[in-house]
Parts: sequence; C-alpha cells; structure tokens
Amino acid sequence: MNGVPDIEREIFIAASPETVFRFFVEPAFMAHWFGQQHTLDPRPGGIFRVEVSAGNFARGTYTEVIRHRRIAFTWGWEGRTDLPPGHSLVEIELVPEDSGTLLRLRHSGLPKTAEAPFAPEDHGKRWANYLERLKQQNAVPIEQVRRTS
Amino acid sequence: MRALADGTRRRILALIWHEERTASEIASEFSITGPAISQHLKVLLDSDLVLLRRAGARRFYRVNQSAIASLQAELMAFWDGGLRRLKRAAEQKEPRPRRR
Repeated sequence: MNGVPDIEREIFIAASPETVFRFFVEPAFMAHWFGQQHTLDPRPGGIFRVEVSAGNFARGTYTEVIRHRRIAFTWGWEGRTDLPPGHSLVEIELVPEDSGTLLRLRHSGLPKTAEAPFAPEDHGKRWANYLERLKQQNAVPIEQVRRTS
Repeated sequence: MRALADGTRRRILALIWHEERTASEIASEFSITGPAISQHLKVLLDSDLVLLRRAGARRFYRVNQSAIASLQAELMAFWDGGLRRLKRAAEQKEPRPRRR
C-alpha cells in the first residue's frame, strides 16, 4: 500500500438534495456541521476555505458545482507541506432516493507516501483533536453512516 | 512535522518503505557519514515514523505502516462525524415523513 487509500462514505439523509446541497455552498449552513469560519465561492475555480479548528485552515477550490447534484473541491491545509492546499480532492454526489438523499463522499489524492512520505503523527493529532470536539458535540449513533470501503 | 522537514529523512523513509534495512545499508545510499544517518534515524524513531527490529548485533529499520492505517481510520471517522452532523442538521431543516 502506497499512501492513504481513497476514503469513501455514504449516508442517507431524510431531506431533499436541494436542502443538502446548501450545506456545501452556504457558510451559515456549513457551520452546522463543519468548521467555524467559511469563505465559500461555489463555482469552478472559486475558493473553498474553512477554519476547521482554531487557527487550522482547510483550503482548496471548487472544481465542480452542479446544483443539487454534485460538488467537488480540492482540499489541503494552509502552511503545510505534507498536504498543501489543492493537494487532495473531495467529491460529493447527491442522489435522490426514497423521500430523501443518498450522499456519497469520496476523498481521493491523499499523500502517496512512497514517493513523498508525509507526517502521519502530525496529521493524526490534528484529526484526533477535531474528532474529540466532534464527539463532544455529537451524540447521534454511528450506525447511520454506511461504510462502503 | 520537524521529522519530515529534512529531505534526507524523507529519502530514508522512501528507502525503507517496502522493506526493512540496516543503518549501513541505508547509509550506503547517501554521500553523508554514518553518524549523520544514525542521527536522522534517531529523529525518525523518536517521531514514531520508523520502527526498529534488533536481530543479534544488527538493527533493522522500517516504516511504521500502522501510522498510515491509523490516518485512514481517522480520516474516515472525521468524515463520518461530519456527515452525521450534516444529516442531523439537514433533517431538522427539512423534516421528512419517511426515514430509515
């Protein structure tokens, strides 16, 4: 295994794709699930910048925005050489299903460590801190998230 | 991140990514001195990026692959946590009769 495999996630949301879409393109909506401050320009080439936790900024650009159906943006960390802004890609697909939306997420292009080893210990700490915060704020059972990979 | 700030250490990691090697085998790939390589290996060991196996007098170094697996697990948990919050918020925004 060279580097981190793609992350693939799937979850059913009992809300329309129109509603779910807004959570990826509008700061006031995104704040409900991700990050503290948001600069979002949801069109191809537009900026995607989120203060994930105090002083830690995720940044990239939207590469694809198809209203109510598909959102893609590049992803990386400001001030980091292991996963710099624009390094990886997050793709969101919204599929109408039953009376709601099937959301598919793929996070690809993660570090290919054989060529350019990165710092798992550093990365791990950041995610761990963020996860701890998530745990404290979120008591919804995990089984609602379906694993696809 | 300090452990990875150095180009030599990144090259060392690439060398021992797929198979373990001794310090002298690693040093033979570089033009710098053995003690300098040892110092780099110590930094990598301290950062937990590299594991050490002793066999008699020989010491084999290899990349700590489990750190990679844990990064993947953490990323998955990160998105799972985010998506759960998204689901909850979206469903509050727009309650629907049928759920599963």
